[in-house]
Amino acid sequence: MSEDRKQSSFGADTQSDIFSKETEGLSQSQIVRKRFFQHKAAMTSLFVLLGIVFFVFSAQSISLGPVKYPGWWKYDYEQISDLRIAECEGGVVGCPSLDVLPSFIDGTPMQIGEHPFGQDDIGRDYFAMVMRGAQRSLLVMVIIGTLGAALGTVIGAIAGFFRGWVDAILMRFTDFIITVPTIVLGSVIGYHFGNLGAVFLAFFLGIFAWTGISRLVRGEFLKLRELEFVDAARVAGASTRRIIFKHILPNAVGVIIVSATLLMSGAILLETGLSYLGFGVVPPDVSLGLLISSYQDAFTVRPWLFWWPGIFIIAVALCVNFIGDGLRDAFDPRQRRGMSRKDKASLARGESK
Amino acid sequence: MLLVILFGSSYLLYNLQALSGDPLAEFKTSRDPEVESQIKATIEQLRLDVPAPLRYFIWLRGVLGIFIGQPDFGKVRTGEPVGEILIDAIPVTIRLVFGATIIAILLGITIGVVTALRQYSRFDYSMTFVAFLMFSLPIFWVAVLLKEFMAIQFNNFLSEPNIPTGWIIGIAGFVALFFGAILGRSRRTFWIGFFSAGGFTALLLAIIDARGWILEPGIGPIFFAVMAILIAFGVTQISMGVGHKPSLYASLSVAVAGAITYFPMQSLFKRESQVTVLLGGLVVALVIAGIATMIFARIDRGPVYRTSSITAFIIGIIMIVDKLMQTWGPYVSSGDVQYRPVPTIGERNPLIETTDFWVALLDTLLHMFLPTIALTLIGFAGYVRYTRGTLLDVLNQDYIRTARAKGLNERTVIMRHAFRNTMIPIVTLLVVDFASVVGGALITENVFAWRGMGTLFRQAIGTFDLNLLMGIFFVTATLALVANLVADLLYSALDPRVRVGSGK
Amino acid sequence: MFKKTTARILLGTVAAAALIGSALVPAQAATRDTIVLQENNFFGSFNTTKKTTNVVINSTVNSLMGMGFWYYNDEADIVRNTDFGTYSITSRKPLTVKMTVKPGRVWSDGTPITAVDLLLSHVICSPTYSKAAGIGDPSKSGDTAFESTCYTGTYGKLVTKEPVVSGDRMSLTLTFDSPTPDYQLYLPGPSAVHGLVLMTDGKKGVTTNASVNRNAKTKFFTAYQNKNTAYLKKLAACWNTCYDIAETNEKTNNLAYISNGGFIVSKIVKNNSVTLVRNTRYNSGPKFTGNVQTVIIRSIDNPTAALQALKNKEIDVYSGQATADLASQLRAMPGIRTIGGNANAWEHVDLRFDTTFGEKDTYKGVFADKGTAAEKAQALDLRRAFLLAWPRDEIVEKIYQPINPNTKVMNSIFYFPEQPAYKSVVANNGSDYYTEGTQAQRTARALALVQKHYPKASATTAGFDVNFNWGTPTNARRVATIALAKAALAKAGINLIAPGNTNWNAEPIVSSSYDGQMFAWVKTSIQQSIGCNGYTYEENLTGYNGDSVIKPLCDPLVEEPQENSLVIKNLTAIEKKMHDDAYGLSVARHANVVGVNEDLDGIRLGFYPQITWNFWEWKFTK
Repeated sequence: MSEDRKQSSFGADTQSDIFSKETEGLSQSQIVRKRFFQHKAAMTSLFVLLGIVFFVFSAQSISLGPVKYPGWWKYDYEQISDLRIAECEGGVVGCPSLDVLPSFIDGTPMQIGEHPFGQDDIGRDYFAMVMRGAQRSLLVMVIIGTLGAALGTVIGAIAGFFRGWVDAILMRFTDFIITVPTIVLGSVIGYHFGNLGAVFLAFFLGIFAWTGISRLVRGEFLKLRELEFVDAARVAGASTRRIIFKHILPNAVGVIIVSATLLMSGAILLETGLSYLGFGVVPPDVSLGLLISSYQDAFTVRPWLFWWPGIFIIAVALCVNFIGDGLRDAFDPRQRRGMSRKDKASLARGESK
Repeated sequence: MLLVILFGSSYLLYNLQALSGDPLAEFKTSRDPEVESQIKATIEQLRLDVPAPLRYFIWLRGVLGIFIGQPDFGKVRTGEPVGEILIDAIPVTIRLVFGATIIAILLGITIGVVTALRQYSRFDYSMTFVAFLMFSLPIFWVAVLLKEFMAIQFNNFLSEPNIPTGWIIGIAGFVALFFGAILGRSRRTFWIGFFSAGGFTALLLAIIDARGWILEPGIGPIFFAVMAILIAFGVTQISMGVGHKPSLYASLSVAVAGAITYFPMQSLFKRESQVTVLLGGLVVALVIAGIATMIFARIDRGPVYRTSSITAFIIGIIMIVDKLMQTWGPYVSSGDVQYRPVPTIGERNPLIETTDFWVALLDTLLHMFLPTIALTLIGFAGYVRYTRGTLLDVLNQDYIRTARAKGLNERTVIMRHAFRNTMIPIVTLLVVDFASVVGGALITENVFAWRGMGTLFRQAIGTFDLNLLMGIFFVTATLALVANLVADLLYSALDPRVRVGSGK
Repeated sequence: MFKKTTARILLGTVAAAALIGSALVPAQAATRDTIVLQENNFFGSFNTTKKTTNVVINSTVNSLMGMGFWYYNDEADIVRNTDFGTYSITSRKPLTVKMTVKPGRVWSDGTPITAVDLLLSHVICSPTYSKAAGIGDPSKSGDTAFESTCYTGTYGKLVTKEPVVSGDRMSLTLTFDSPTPDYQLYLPGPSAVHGLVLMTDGKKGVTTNASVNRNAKTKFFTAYQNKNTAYLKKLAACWNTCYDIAETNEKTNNLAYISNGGFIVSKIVKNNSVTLVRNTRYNSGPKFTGNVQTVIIRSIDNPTAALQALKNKEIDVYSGQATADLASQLRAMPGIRTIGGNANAWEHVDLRFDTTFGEKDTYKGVFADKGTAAEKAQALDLRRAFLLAWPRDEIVEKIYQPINPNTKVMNSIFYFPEQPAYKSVVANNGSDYYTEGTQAQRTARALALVQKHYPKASATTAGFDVNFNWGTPTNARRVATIALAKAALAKAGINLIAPGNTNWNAEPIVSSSYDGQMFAWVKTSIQQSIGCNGYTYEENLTGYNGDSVIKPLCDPLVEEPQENSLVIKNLTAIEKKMHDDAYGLSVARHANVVGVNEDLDGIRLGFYPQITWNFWEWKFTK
């Protein structure tokens, strides 16, 4: 299933709209959008995440074919410069020059400085490395997330809708993949194909990451296909394809989104874990997971090597999860309407309508 | 069918792994004059002369011996039989993962329920934030922090165990905020919760500090009795409501019985065979709960018995905790521990040579302390999110509306109608979680120097040990398959609307 | 109410304390006497000669349980252990060595140690004896009854004649076929053969019954003399399996760990720890001057975990891998002192000359030393340019010195900067070509050499590519080294292609697809023939053939012990030849840092084994 197909399935299709009374005059996508926009945490996270993505991808040079974008940060992640020594305390090298406190608090003026995040052992700019690492990690996350969600949805939908032998074969196939633990598989893949780069690694992992979603989607489909509106659509002569994509799938989107976001934040951690075990992204390329696992010993000595990639991992994972949370609430057909303050308050009191 | 899957995936993995590395690699850089013969020996030992797609069947033939009771998983490269190694490793991993999973579930479901009931409150947002934050932390990082602050610093603290006033205020403030947020529906209840919880904590910490309780803890018979009564009230309130007299009386009599048995149990704890004592105690507790139920309840005995037996169980746990507290003092001050009781590595203290059940138990529990916290912190986020989501779904269902319309009070609606239905998807999640133990244990074991399946897996990958890897795979795959089967069955059993295809 | 309660609590805890007091010994003011060491792997066998059980922790345990005729000290010198026995050269041609066990030496069960105990390794490792006795040919693996790596085969080549046991059975005379300057390395150590015999005969448990033990020993000697194939094979079967003990339980046969060292195993917890206590009958080595009574070796394979365990006082010695961050953490750790500095390995860069001996694919790269004279000259220029541009100073400063501030660039191929001869060797070994001037000047010279053959090359345009082999990207130190080298070589117009390989080990180091490589050699023994073991054709990994010069210089070194001055002179000449041919350069000696509990005295880093060599001196001051 392609991405735009999924989008169009949210389109205004009032015939199958199961929200009748409370959502008069609004298409399903409008309802969803309205609810999502009102979800404060999700909206904040969305902006933060978009900000991070833009910040991170514009910092370092990217070349797409003949077009080359230079990146706004002065250092490249592979470039070696002289180590900052004189400015650092306690005999460490390459300490960060970033100072976010104004001078009346700590006596030194606010500054970004030459190497805001510090430098690694040999003098590479750590800000550039973190940017590059975040690019890789985001890429890994998106590839695993979309690939896993897409495959899982299709397989789960088909299995749940058709049941019978189709279900049996597809679910046994799912079991077949589930029996191989992801981290085991990741290690084997990473070990063998690690040299081929982060994108390839993510792609390979994504191919095996759909099992959880497919089980959930199948469960939803098994449940939904028994409901009246599906029978109604069938009686009205809707084609199987139409029933799956226009009638059932929009109702299962909540589940898919939630698991896809969990899968994405899980993907960042999977990559981190694999790098820790030495099976992830391979130097000289960097990823957040690789940085954090190679500098775990720096924790007390040169903490910035440990904290910066860590902060980015946490920020991205948190944002993705909150967005997923908002989407889930927005897509939930049983939530009555866009939440007003009063509704929230009444819900918070545990009252029902 | 299951066997076909096992066959297929094991075949795939075998060949994947065979592709992934060369078991002769170490010899390639060797300057050893014997290297030729060593290569030859290794080829013979691992049957490398047979190509992997065929070699698989040599392995399979050994494994199929399981049907005649003599499975042969081959030998690891250091010569030990894979089967024996696995049997040693499995309990370690289970011990590591089991406790953490249980705590994660209990904590996750509790917080999930509260966040659902307080949807979009500050408590909801902050708990969601904390859950996701924990979920986003790499475990080796969590481990480093835990070891630094909960083991090394705490042990340093123990050498002079005085709680600074600042700490008392800080901890009490945190507890106060937490309970205030849970209880607070209005300003008033928030402040009541805030001050009572905070005040209680501060007082408790002050007493603990003043009495030197940290090195010589214990509950003592009178506190124990008070706690037992409080527990009886609490459990009854949550399950049936204290207004339900039969439940309350049954639980209270169980509590009184528990308090009376305090002294006899102390002497029983000195016996040799503690496992018998504990099992016996459990049986006796359940019997007492049964008798109390018989006496106080004429009708509807099921829920009453459940309430009183849960009370009995919790009181029993507290009795055991009390006993462990009494063991704590001598344990901590012993020459083998030297006031550094919280370890950062290993499964037990190799210096301690004792046959005393309680010392050994305390030692084991202390060694499980940090890994369990680490795994719990990371694992509970999922349960919070799923419980919250499902409970919100369920609360919007028609039958909940019906239950409320019937005039049932909120507690009954939540605990008996909503909560139970929430458990359906959680149970399936739980089952699948247990199946993925090795994945969870892989890094944790390494960080805490435990020797379970995760360690074996690393060893297998590192040395290209096909037999070992396949042995591990056999265990995990079997676990996963069984778990999935159970999940499927539970799914259709608990939700009558689901018809699972008859494809088998 | 609180008073009453607390009174009760106190009463309860006092009672409980009295009860548990019997199970735990309370801390006393007395000094500690248990030392906890740490190893990466876990214990599996008392027999370390098998390929599968030759693991560091097994050797560590064995080093505490066995003493032979000599040991390495912390200066890397061989120290004669006269408490155990003496040995001397009785004849030069052929080289004959007589070893005599000092009378009165005993095993931990009280059985006297005799020359018969020295015979077992000969039985196992001598192809001549093995073939004669019908128990197989050690030179063909899989063919022998005894599984053993056997001094990695060298012993079997050096000693083909049968040793002679003296009449009183206290001396063994060994005859070497060829002059062997490092003969001490091959002297057999004692093994408790009576334990092996008793286990072979199905006995269980150590006995102090002297006659049983004596008869067992005699039984072995008779079987040895009569070449009793059947019985020797039985012994072999036991040798291969009886010593593999991963844990102690009621089934464990303690005949497998009879000791003549300072300690003896008392408990093994599978995959976790090994506990050793003092061997009360120990008299085969220096007398105890310390107070350590018990040694516990714990298995922790994660360096960060081990470090924190040290900080938490769960272990007393941390000797794992050293990184800059670990080293500075150790130095800053309260209650811990650091020792050590230098490891016995050194990193070096080698360039390719030709197809390696035994490799099928032909080497055709830029450094190939073949073709016309002009082609050879070009390859030499390019090799020199490569080595000149390799930023050794920067690598040492940024990567090695944070671990050990004393690490220097190593300008000799065979000598560590700490060795006395180093200075004179470096002065005459031709290394000044690669050390002259600053790195910037050297890079300029390198660029000039490159431009001679690739006129377009400049500091920004690469003249030619070099495929470089260096290892797995999980090795942080090498990753950083390569990053530095890549940047520095680029300035000399050389493009370093060195992506690393997750499969490095599987990739043959001799593969012809590389133009150069970087890795570490380890010195595990001191040999005067070191310069000849790896640098003549047929033996090196680069296809280098300097035999015309090197072989004559080597011949006297491999033949017999020589005066140190001659050794230095010849090795310097060999180095000169290699430097002139731009064979490669050493970079620096590896560093290691060991963290030790401050209360523990006497831990000094030895040569091999590093920690346990002087166990008799370990002492707790608190």
